[in-house]
Amino acid sequence: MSNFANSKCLRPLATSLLALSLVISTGSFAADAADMKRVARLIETNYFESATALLEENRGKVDSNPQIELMLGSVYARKAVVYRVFSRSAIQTQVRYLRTLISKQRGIDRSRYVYLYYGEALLAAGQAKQAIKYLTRFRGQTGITLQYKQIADIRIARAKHMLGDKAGAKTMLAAVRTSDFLVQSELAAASADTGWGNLAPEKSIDRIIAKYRGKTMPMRVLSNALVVYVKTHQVQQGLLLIAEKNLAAASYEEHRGRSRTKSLKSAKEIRFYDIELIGALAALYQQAAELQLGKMAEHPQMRDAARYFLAESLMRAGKHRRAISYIQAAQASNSLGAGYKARLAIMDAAAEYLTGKRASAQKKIDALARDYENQKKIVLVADVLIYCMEIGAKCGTSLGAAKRLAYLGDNTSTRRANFAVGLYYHLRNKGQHDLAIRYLEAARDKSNKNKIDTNDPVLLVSLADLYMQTKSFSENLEIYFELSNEFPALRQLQEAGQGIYSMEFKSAGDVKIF
Amino acid sequence: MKRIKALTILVITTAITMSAAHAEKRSDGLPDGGILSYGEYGRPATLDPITSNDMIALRITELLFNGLVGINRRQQIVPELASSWKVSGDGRVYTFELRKDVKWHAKPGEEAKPFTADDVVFTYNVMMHPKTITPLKVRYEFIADARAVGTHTVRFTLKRPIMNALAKFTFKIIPEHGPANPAYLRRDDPFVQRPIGTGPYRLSEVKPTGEIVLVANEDYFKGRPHIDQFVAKPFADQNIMNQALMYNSIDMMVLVNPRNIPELQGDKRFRLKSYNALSYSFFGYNMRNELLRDKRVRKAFTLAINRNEMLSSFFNNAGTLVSGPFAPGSWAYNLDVRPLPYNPEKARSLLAEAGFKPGTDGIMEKDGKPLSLTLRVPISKESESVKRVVLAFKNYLHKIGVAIQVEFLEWQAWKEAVFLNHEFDIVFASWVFDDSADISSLFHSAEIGTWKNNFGAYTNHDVDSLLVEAKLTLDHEKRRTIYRKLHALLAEEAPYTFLWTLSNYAAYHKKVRAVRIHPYKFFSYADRWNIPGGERATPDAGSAQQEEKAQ
Repeated sequence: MSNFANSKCLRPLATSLLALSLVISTGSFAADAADMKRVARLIETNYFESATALLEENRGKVDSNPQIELMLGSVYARKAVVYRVFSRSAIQTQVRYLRTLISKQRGIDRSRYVYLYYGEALLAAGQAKQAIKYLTRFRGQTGITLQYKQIADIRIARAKHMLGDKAGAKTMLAAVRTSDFLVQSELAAASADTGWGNLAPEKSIDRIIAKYRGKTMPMRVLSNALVVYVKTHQVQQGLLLIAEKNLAAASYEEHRGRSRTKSLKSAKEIRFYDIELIGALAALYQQAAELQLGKMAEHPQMRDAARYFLAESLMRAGKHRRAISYIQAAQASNSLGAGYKARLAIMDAAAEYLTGKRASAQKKIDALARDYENQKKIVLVADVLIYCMEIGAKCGTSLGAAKRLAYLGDNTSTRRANFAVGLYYHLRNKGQHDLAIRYLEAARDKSNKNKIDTNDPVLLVSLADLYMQTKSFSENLEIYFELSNEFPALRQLQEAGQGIYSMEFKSAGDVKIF
Repeated sequence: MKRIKALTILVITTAITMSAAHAEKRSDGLPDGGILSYGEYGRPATLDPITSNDMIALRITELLFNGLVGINRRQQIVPELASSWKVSGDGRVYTFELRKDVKWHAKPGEEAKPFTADDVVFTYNVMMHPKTITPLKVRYEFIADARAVGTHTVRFTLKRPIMNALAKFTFKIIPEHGPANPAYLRRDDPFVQRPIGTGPYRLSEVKPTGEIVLVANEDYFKGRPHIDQFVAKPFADQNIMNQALMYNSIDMMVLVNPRNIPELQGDKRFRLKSYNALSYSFFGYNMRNELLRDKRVRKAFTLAINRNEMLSSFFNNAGTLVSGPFAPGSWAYNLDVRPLPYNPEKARSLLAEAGFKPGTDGIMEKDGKPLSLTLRVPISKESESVKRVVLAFKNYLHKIGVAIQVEFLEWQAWKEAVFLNHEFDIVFASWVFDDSADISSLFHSAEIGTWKNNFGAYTNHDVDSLLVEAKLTLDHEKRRTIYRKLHALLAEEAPYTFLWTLSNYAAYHKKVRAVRIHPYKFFSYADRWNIPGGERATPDAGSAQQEEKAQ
């Protein structure tokens, strides 16, 4: 049994490989060895933002260091994975929060901006028709400034574009005349999204950003700028934009009513967040990963590991056609061990399935699950199930194998199997919340249940989603409380989760001492 | 007025009428039998739901009593002693139809009596009687009147519509024929030690050792619970409780010390189950001591202690620092407020600013009064970890010239010192909240007094005003805004040094099946728990799969 297959922890494969590449290259390059060890530890414990910061810092110290470049690429790849999960969760949570808020509010102090942000959330969720309804309701209210009416119009145009009404979208966008930077940033994002507009959106956004030099940039501008950079593949500009920015900031704070207590500015303060931010970050990190790893895939000493990472990253992003060549190149490598080859075989079968050769690929997937189960390679069986699930293949064989291995006992080595089975019930067999929670809880490290040090962020977010769906709100909030220390952009999930909790809980108002 | 009208219309259109399931024997196919012994960190002073105010008693009363309604784990109001209910159009009148098949646990030598509307009215009247000492009173001041309008119909009239009113009727009902005094309930009434209820278990015996034995209620209206007996065993020390579990003297621990989690996690005989109680620990200050009335002094104490270090060293970092009066899992937590950093220099300068100077013995003093204070800790908290926390607190404060005398007291003696006599300068304790995160009883100035929760006599006009405003509003986002402000204000005011919330885990032997734990009340679903004959647990089975089969 290879060391990889016998791994007694839940750390993703990327971590093991990183550690390997670190060992391979130790002493060959000028990076600060102590810092590199810290980076490895940070990645191992899922502190991806901190690892990125340290790598960037070291990048500035030396002219060229392929080791740092490879590590950065692989960290971006991991960040892309977790931010995609964050984004899915953020959209679901925001839609639920804003919908509930609309349903509960009445009276003169009701929120007006909730309609704008609900419309935006629906648009992000792909519900363009509903989005138009709420955006239209927003702009029709009295007391809405021209600035925000225009923002609503631009979002309506994007919704129309999504619905295939390209002419309607174009007409609406063309009607927006403004010198306001907030609105201009909306136009640039819409232009990048729809392809409409005479001016290159990246130039427009560069100009707007320049106006905020030395000032606090509104989150709406930052979010729009990020959308533009992602759509136009301006990776470095995107990374520069978010550096040292407060990604936890709200997009808009609405104050309504007067409080009887003098120390309160208003009776009600509602914070709204930019729904596109987290998805744009995920896309940015994916592009950064592909860029970095693509460069390293040509480097003589880094190429095998880089090709492996790139193949994995592309597969996880659903870009199987591009992944195939890297899978094949990595498979041909002599320097990658049996564990990596085993994982490449899973990717190969998954890619084959996605290219249309479903029957033969399905056989391969099932055979891999059976083989690895016979060899008690728990982590590999879990990976077969995860890939199987992601590509939409039939997972009966791999699910059975993973469940049997999970049944081997309650210890760290079976957690990965429990994780994969729990994820299956969460994402594929929707509605089986209790079952999904049981398996995912079995995969959770009990000694530090909310800490990312010993728990994969994807596991924690999956559990948080399930707890939100089953109304165990405090479980959800505790998870995000910890995660947000490393990933500040999750603030919008915390605030929305708190909002849902405050509106949906039932209790007698009890408190006890102990 | 408009708001009330709008609510009226809403309530009319959503008037609820729900039917309860018929009382009958359980047909879930799960086995009856077995004894479950569980470890508690003390013995409750009282066993009734009205005078008690601690978690140990709450767990017992959950097995002994029922409310009119319950809240299921999907946050829905479900029938309990009430089979149905109606809400008036203006949201002020709640009429409950009661089950007719409910009997009180029989008193020794007596027949079991039926449960009626008079019992409900009696409970309310006792709860609100001025001579009844209970923390519940403040929560039910919104009710204007309760009356029986039939043997099995009871009507509550509210002073005003409130948010989530129905959920408030989860309070436990006691029998009119229970207490010796027909008007109010005090801690010297025999009923508080030998209560009878309607719940799935009845009190059988309280042993001289403090063990409380509960036996299955054969006539329970939801059907006989599966496990024959629950035995609560008190332990003075969490480490000893852990050993008792390891050596099979008990089957369950309601709260595992974080330091024991790795050991239990690796032991295939046991399961660890997390439950998210909204709780936090704190050092609370007594404002009756004039030296502690200055918030700069209290803030200095907070700045002087390294909470991160304590959490990491004493609890394996299995928790989260809190910055204010809510747990991080609460909807009310203000995410903008960060815990104060460890800064002994700033602590010293705050004390100097407050007029303190070092005395000849190095202890800070003001107007000849030294900063020498008593810290009272309940002995039930005397685990290794808590001892270390207390010792560390003492050492940290010593470094800024504050002398602390630590006293460990037995649970009941500690409660009397804190809630009755108010003889302390500082206490170490924890609060646990249900989902409401209602802090009004902790910090409102009207809650200062005997057996009231504002034991530190904290007073602040703005805090009072905000708490009242939060109680009166029917707007969720307004209440949230107010709580955010309260969090910030109390963090600044520092009536407590807010410490941390710890991960809550219960540990139990795998022979106990279908275990679902209520995050606050713990035993709410215990009537479904079961122990298969012959303890057919398969120690090597994966826990999730085993549970999947057991459900």
